Amino acid sequence: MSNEHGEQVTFQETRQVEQGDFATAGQIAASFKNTLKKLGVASPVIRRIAIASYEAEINLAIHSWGGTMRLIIYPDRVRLLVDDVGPGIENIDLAMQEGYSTASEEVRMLGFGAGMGMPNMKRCADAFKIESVLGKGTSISMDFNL
Amino acid sequence: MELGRMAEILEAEVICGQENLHLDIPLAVASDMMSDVLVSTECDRVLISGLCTIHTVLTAQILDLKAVIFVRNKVPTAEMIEAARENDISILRTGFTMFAACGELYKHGLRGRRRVDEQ
Ligand SMILES: Nc1ncnc2c1ncn2[C@@H]1O[C@H](COP(=O)(O)OP(=O)(O)OP(=O)(O)O)[C@@H](O)[C@H]1O
Ligand SMILES: [Mg+2]
Repeated sequence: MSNEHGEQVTFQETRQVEQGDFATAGQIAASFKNTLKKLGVASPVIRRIAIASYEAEINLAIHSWGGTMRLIIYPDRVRLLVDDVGPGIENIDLAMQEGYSTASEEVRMLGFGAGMGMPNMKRCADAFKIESVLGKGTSISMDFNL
Repeated sequence: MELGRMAEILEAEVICGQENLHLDIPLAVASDMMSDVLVSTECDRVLISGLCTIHTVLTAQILDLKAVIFVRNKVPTAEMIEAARENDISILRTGFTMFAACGELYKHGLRGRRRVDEQ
């Protein structure tokens, strides 16, 4: 397998997250984690990828109208692409700040909405890119060096 | 501190994962907010929480944690226990409040990260 740049791809998987699917959010992160483990990736890297996936998955469920999570494993790095259709983010700098959250009281009762997810994804990844268009959606790309 | 010792101190019921009781877990993290717990990648921690949902167990699973202690007598669901069993995570349950549970464990020598800005 190879991507559009002719780079060799070891493994690739795309999964769907539905809007409001909070109860099952985390299953994709857990399954990505298992995949990486089976491929023999080192535990500290797996943990960073799993944390970023989990936070991204929760965000899709609670903030977007639905989206996809794609895991692409290259020989030298892992790429995590998170794309959603949704309200988008008006002020990305603000959203990246620790503690900034627009999550509902209901989400907070369930242990999320501390405003820590996005800064944590950025901290976990070796490269982090985010693009968002109001009323359309948000795309995040994260790279993790192997 | 051995997990079994934590159970003793907190007069906790071991709901699953008896086999982990001999494990020495040097650190603890206590929070009801899972994204606060997910900020650190350290795996040698016990998770103490008053949040008793599947996401507490999932958080432990994502972080490779070996044990979760539920305070305030929270009762885990069958789904949570099953998920914990599948991932070799022990679940303990205590009637202590969060404050008292942390205070007792700290008094007996268990430690956690002191400040968010320290590594
Ligand atoms: N996919 C998204 N679509 C629209 N808005 C988003 C999206 N992801 C994040 N946001 C906005 O950015 C804010 C910050 O996100 P972040 O993940 O840091 O915190 P949170 O999800 O509110 O809480 P936590 O991640 O601690 O559970 C959110 O509250 C929300 O307003
Ligand atoms: Mg979030």
